[in-house]
Amino acid sequence: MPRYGMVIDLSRCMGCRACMEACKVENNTPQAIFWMYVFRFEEGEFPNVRQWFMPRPCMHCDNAPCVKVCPVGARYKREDGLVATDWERCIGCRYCEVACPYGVNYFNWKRPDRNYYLDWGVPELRSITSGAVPPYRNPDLDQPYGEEKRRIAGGGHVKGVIEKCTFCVHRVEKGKLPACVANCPVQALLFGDLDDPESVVSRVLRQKPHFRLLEELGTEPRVFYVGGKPPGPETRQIEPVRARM
Amino acid sequence: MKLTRREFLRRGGALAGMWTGLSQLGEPVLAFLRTRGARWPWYRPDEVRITYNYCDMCMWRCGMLVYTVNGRVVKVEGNPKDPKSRGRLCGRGQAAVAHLYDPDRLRKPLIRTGERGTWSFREATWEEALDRAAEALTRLRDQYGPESVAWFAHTTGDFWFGDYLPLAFGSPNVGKPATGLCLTPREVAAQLTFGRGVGGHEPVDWENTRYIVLIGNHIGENAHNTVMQDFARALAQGAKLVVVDPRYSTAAMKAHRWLPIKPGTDTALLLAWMNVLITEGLYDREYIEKYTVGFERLAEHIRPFTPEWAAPITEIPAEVIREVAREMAAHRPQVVIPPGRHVVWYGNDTQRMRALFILNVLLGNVGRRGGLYLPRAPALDPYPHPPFPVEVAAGGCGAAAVGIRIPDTPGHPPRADGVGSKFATGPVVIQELIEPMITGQPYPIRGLVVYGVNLFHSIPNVPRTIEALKRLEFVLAIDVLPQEHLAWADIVLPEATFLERYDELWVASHRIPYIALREPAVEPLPDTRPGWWIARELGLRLGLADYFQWSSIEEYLNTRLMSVGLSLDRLREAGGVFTWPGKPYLEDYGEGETPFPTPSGKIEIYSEALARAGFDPLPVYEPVEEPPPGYFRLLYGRHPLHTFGKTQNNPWLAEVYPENEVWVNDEAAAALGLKNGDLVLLENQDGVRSGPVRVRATPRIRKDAVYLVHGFGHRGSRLSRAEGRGASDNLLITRYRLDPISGGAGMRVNFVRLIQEV
Repeated sequence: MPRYGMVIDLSRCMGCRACMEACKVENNTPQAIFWMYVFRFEEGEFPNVRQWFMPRPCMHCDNAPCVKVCPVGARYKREDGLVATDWERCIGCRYCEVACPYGVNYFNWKRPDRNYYLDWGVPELRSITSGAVPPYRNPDLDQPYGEEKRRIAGGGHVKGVIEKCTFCVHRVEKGKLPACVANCPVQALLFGDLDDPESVVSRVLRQKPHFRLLEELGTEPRVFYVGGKPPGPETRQIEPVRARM
Repeated sequence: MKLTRREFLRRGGALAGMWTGLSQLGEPVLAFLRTRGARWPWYRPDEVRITYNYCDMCMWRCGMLVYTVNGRVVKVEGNPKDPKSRGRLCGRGQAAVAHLYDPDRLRKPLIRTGERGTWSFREATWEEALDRAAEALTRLRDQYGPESVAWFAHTTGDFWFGDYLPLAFGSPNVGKPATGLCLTPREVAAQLTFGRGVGGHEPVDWENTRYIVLIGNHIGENAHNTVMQDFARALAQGAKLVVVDPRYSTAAMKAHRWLPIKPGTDTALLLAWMNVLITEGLYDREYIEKYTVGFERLAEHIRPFTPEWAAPITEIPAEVIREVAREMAAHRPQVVIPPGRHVVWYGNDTQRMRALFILNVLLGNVGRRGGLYLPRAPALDPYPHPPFPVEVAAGGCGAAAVGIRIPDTPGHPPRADGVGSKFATGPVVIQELIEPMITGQPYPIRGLVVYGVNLFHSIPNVPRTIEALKRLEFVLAIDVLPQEHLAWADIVLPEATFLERYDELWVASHRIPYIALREPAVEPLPDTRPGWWIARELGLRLGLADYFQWSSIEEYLNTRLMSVGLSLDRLREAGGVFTWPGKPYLEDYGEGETPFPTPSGKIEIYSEALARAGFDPLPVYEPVEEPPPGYFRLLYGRHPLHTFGKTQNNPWLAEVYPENEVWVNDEAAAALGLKNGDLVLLENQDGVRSGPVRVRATPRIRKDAVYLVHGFGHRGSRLSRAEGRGASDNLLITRYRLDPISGGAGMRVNFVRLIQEV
């Protein structure tokens, strides 16, 4: 059984946010829900200034606090290391959202069809669009995944449940890379089996110094950052996090 | 009975397996079931279809695969076989799906009922709209000659409305914003120096370079997919990077040196670098001797332009200038100063681009590994057609060969953009076609066909454009979205998006010459039509049937493909892309074969052509006007999730970056009593005011300039998400300095002050 992990090379990232859009397209996340988010930072004073970007997916922690607090077992750790949400079982208590120190959980306050940028069901819009309601729906997400056959991909996008990054389980199970990794124009995102010494992630982690976010909390994240440093007290966030519900 | 979700799911389990039957229930029922988390797949596996396309979200044109289910596009991916995307797409490309399904899209042909400048239209049939348009164009042609109609075109369909139909119609006044508002100085400078243009895909040999110097080239904000890929790889391989920019751009954050140059002084820096390379004997002597002419004159010319001369001008210390020149030389020929794209800055831009090219030449990198490679285009025959009554270089990203010679067709009216009088040479510059609409000089332009060009966001001096629109007798607009300028059209034709249509082949000049296919992934939305169809229908109505002898686009494409032994089917089998070997390096050229088709057959450091035309044959620096007290120089650029003024309404892109903000140096902002997030109005030197825009106080910009992402601040459009968001740089660019050589519109000559909203 592989042990999946991600490496993010901050020295490569150019903050283009293709990963955010790739996630949106692949996983059909409703408006204001970003399973992948790119944080933007600056430091220093003119002309000795520095700017850098930090993509943040779910960390898929080995010691995931969200799994521990879930009262119904909807949030669970798969054997391959993916922290998944069985959206059929989720009761929307949002404990995971509180427990997660990385802010990767998004709660569906509205029915997703009311939250796909526009309510396509309203008659006025239907008349304009001649009934061409966008699918915003990747067929690959409509199956149960894993040996347990649980419905985790796509996060369900159901009102009243939590969703978050799945490491694109539906792609990974087919041997493809997560959409953000596959699309990153600068190859800042790498994905692979941490147990395989020949995998690209293992090789990079052997070669380069790395850190994990909020490592001191003991969550054992599966996302490793290379080519940079964690934000510190001297770091200013360039813009507020957008569209967080 | 009201069904809870959980209750429904419990029952739904029993229904699993019945989905096949249920999928025949029709969309409303299925939609209802889906939102309640129905268990059965909503599609059949055999319904998933992949079609080939090349992206039109910007003009880079990355190959893509389009996934459709049941007549709907569900996602797009990069085509792994495509030399540009290599299986990856930028954020804008991915959001193509949301572009296709933008509910604001134009849906019906429209015919004006009220006054120009207002959205007063009635819906019409295609038949009626095309008949009316053709009637009006025919009348103008008969009464005033074909040259009285100008054609503006951008995006892929500009082949039909910029390169084909207008030339068949007989008008030399064909403008593309990619020329005078973007690339023209670079293309003309390259033509003069190398006898060949740069082309749309800048031929930088990223993979072999060891040292990169960017002059105001915002890679990472300019999210051209392949450039980002290659640039990141070059840096990962250890290439050094110097970024020269008044603003700490995304590219600057990757640099080992950021030179926060004083705006408008880049040519002085380039001259000083040449000075160091030559006086210290660091240039590539052998290369210069073998491939160039005019070096001695340059050596003489640059003698006074020492780093000490340039330091106070550029505000870059002399020792830094010297060190960078030495570092460049130490890495030659694997060192490159890429030409960049949007180069119309100060009106002296051809000289700056010549200086940039000559600096590359001194380093001996043109046609060498790690420098600028020599691109090549596949040779594909056009569909056979009678010769056009006019031959004119409309230019564009892959600008056709243009020398100092003006390509007028004897016996036909000359271009109205003032080439030969206002400026010397180059493709038609779009912004100079506005003047004849107002003044009637050199002759009146009375009609306009505008395809995919936002008249108020791409062409500077909006008041002048409006004045021109008021005087035109007829305006036909073809577009996908209801942009603001459509309110000035007499007839509006709604085009299908690039995901819904065939189009002309994408014939790419590249290291690997290739062609790419665009085929429709889905049917066009009702009452929208592909550009080729519109062009053909108009052409037939204009009596140009000889130019449209094909009846279907498949026939057209197959005929063109036949000339290289291909067909649509074979192109599909090949994965939507077909490549040929290129000739990127000098060693690929045999004895007696030169890749530099200049008059001398060599790289012309000293330009006889310029000298003859009365210009400085070697690059010179001329100072630019400074902002008055209290004003900042207005700079602008790109956001990686937006293309010009055409993506602000895209739901997915607007979600992440809904409005631009004005970058102001943090200390300068504090002095004005402004802090991050404050709303301000920008007022330019002519008193034109923008809408409210937020301040981004940051140390990442000099104190003498402010910066806006281009394309925001839509006003008077019917774009529900873009309308009124952010500030428009183009609105504030009321003046520009015309480059006397190429006709480029230097736009960084505007100044703004910040007015706090109370």
